[in-house]
Amino acid sequence: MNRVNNRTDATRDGQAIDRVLIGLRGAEAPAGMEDRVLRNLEAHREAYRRRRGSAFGLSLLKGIRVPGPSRPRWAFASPYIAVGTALAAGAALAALMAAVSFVHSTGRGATQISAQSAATPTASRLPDAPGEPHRPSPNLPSRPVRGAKAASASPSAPLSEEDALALSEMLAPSKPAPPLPLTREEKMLAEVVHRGEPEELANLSPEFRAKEMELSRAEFRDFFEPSPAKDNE
Amino acid sequence: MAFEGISLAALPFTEDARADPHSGRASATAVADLVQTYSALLFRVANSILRSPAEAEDVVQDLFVRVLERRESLEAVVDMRVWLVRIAWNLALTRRRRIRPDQIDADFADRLAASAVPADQALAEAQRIQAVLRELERLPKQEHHVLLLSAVEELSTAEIADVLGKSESAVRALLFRARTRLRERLNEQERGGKR
Repeated sequence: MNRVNNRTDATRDGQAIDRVLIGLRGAEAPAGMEDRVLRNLEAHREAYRRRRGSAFGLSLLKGIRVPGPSRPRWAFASPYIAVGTALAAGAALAALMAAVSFVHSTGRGATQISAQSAATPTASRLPDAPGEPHRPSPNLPSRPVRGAKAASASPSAPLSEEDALALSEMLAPSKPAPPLPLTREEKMLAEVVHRGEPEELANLSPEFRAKEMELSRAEFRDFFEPSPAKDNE
Repeated sequence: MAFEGISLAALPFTEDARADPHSGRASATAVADLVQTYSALLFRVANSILRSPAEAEDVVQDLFVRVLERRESLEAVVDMRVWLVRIAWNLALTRRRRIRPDQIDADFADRLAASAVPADQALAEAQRIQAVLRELERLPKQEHHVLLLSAVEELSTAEIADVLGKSESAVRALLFRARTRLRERLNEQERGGKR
């Protein structure tokens, strides 16, 4: 009787296992999954393009089209046109500011400036790209670049290559200096503060430290330099 | 065309495929074609571990994004099908660690029982299926993996062996051991319950 029961159980277990496996086997992908995957790829492409804005990003998924209102071809180029226009406007503004400040400092007319800049093409040299180390021109002697005061000190002098370089560098957008790395002591201090151990934090107080030192000195004296009176007792 | 409103011809890399139809790279890198060809299989692979359609779909989406990002390495892929299954398998395993399996297994068991037996027997059947799933999870890792992959009908023993990095004979042996062990444990459990 037991054997029959066991056999029935085994059969039922086998059927249950098969049912689970068949259930897994027969799982159908949700409707529209492929569509959603492709939309996700499109979204990924958009995010990538926004992040990088590189040609690689554009070529990566060029042409994925998802359902939705169609856009004209020029609409895809409009962000680039806008960026290009903004850059050109920025460059024109910078050039204008340079010219105005130079006129103010030298008191010369526009004709002279244009003649001068034609004679010295390096005057329009742009500053180095951020992150790129500055390399002085091989034609120039390696001496420190003079500031605006030096340029305005001799208003009648012609604008040399060096001055033009100095002027362009002076007018270049300034970047904040990168933060200096912490010293060893600063790092230790930050570590202590982050840990937030009460004893360690209390040790940072000079009064507390002084008291601790005094106490330890007193203990040292008591132990190693006992008073003669105590010995006599 | 499988996707309404989506032009496969305009999808990435298919231009390459048209330019050079004999190029392995071209066929391998047609991401849209890969989606169309393999997404159902990859869904089933992920679902065999996760037992949740939503989670399995997430795995498929994640997989194709990765494929897209690594498109440069697609040239080196010898067997695209096995390669994709392996990625789906690993992604699903990773995801499985993050989710709460008990609730998901209960939902899966209810669904399966409801589709298999009349309503009055569904509760008992769901409990039995849950017991199978519980014991399935307690199997040794290799046996567990082989048994689940064998549930994906489209995968041959050779492909399972490729995915898991084992020989075909080892896969067959593991499959046999897995089924035997699972049956024994369920039997023990039932006998313990009756006592």
